Amino acid sequence: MSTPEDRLDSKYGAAATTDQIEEQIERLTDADWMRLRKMAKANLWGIRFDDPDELINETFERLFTGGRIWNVGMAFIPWMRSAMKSIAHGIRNRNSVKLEALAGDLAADSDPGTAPDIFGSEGKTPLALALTEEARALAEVELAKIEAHFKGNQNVELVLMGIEDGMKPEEVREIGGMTMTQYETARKQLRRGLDKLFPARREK
Amino acid sequence: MNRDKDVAGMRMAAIAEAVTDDVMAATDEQILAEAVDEGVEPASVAEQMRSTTLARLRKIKRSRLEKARTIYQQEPKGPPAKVRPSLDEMRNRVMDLIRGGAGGDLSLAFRNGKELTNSDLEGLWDDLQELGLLDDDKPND
Repeated sequence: MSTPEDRLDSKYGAAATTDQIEEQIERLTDADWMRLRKMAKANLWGIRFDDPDELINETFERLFTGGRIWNVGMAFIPWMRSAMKSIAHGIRNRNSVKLEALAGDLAADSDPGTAPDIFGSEGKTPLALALTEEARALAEVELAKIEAHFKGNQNVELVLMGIEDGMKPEEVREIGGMTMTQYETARKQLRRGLDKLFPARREK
Repeated sequence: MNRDKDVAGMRMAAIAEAVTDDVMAATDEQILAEAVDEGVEPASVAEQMRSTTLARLRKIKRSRLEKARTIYQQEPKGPPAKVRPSLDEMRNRVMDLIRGGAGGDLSLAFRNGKELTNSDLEGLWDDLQELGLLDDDKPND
């Protein structure tokens, strides 16, 4: 949640004006937009958005209406990554859904554009998950699809295990007896496999 | 909350984090090539996303401007138009004040022998009235 204090305490510049946000958006390259789509897509797990553009648009909407603050001087793509992750987390998080109802009440008498963004917050670890029933069911289905898709590809399965257990690449390589190239190839296979497994609307 | 139930969620969160790490680390060339491989034309899709996003932002800016304009138009715009007395009356009273040193540059010009036009006189009257230098007890018309 952004507060006026966040704006003052930021180690970066002041909260960007709409003109500065507009300039930043105009500066985004084609690769930047593709990168945003890929990161949005990765964050769609457990939520009913069926296209990464929906999460990107939602994030921009909150930026434009003051629900999220981007400070001048902050690298924009990493900021978008963090904001998209947080917003997706808020959508699938049980506590945030309760807060969403509260925000609806709070916003009822005010300009919806200026309603505070109270969904999700930075710095929450996966352990702090409290998924809605729907998000949990979706996550289980998606995880099962991933496991089935990579079944038999030993290196990717090891990479997946390492990611899920928070292992360092060296540890995964050591367990699997993989060279650096084999590890990197497996990791790339995982990412590209996920892209194909969960195609976005424009890719279907 | 039963955290055990969220195992799938924790695993999906970890995978998402790893994927976004890799996306951030990939070069622009890799990202563009992958998009093409997925059947996406990067320039076309990026342009569409860019224009949609900017259109939305500009709509919000316009809406804010309209709102500010409406508020501005609804605000009272200063005191009502002043009622001035006749030109003769104004001239007499202004002359009295000028003799007393009021009226700034215009009165100085007048003292130097220049004529005050009717327009000068009306402007000076309004200025003096705004400065509170006119005697309110005297009738204005």
